[in-house]
Amino acid sequence: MSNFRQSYQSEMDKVHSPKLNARSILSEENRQRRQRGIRRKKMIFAMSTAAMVFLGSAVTVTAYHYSRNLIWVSGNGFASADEETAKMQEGFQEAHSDTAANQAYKGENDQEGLYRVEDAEELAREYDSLEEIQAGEAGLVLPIPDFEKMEGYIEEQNYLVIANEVMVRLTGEEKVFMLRQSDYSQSLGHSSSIVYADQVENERQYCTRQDFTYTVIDTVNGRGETGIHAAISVNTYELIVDFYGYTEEEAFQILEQMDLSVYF
Amino acid sequence: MEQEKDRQQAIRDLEDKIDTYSDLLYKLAWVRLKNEQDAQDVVQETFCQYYKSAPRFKSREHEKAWFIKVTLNSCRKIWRSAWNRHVILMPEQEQMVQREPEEDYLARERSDQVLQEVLNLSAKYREVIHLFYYMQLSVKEIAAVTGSPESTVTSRLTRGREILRRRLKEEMDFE
Repeated sequence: MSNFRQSYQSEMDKVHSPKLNARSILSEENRQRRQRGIRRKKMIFAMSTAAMVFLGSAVTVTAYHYSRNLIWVSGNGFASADEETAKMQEGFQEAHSDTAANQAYKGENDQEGLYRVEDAEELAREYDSLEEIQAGEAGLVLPIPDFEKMEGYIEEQNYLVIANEVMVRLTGEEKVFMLRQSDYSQSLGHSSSIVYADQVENERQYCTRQDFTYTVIDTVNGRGETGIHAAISVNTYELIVDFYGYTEEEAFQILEQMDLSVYF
Repeated sequence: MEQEKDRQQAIRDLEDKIDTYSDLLYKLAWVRLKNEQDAQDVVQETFCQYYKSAPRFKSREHEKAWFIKVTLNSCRKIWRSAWNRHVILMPEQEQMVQREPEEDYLARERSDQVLQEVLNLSAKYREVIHLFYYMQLSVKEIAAVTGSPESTVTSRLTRGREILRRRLKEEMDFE
């Protein structure tokens, strides 16, 4: 039987490290280049999930009247907004055309964007299992499916809580299940969208036995792999579920197992 | 004049730290970020921070722990890799790994797979696997530099080993 430690050390010893020197590290030009690179990556990765880019803004005001939340297929993904904002969608898009994500790609120093990103990072909490997140987040509402009924073996669980959002990723055996839940109960209004890197096609609806109707789309990447994406708005919650490596039948079975009555 | 002497001394001290730690920290950042340029940037920023803050250390172990912790914190700021869906072999890796032509083919193939499967783990598992098996830190030391409870470190090590056992073709002794 081989020894893992020896094998791993042997391979790591062969990894080449670049030669560093003090003068290069301390040069002002190099420092600024590194800082620009790090800021750009912070903005992108704080706002990205897998192959998606989430462009969102939520007006967070002590709310007592939340209007209906709408979600629809737009461009290469989903868009959502409260009803009032959605009515003005064209005008709203024009006023906010230069999003933080676009500024990230420009590499400019967007102080407001940086503030929002760093703020989000401070609030982020990460968990490794359903038990941990349930223990760590009092009153958590999350319609997570029954793992034992899910196809394949769940190898890894990741849960991330940032402000009003919960993100879940379950990985195993060539399959990835992702869920993003947003709670707008404390918002006066919002507007957000998710853009998938791959081409979107086959828009349709799926109605569960609980009588909840999801808007469903497919994405296909350059390797011919299909992703299935389902979105729904229930009460003040918005849910986007992504299936990679699942057949449509498997994906819909999982949607059936997600109890959305928890949102009432 | 005095100021210039102090500055030169600080630079010599920095160079000494670079000689001692750069290889270790670079490999840690490389495994964590799976990107050569990012890893290099993180390590340079770590040394830059050392130069600016000039921390005092109680011992060599304390010093090493400080460098590891700062490097890991910088990695986390750059890369929220828990949400990185695709685990891909970095194109740079093929050039980075120097192979000995006389090396036994089977042994080399086995080692290749070991490193590849560690890189295929998600960040939280490959981080503790690397700290434990390559940097030879104890569970307690890993907990200290990662800011996680010892129980979390233990469960991540256990889980990381389980995944590696399943994926590695050959049965391995994980000590």
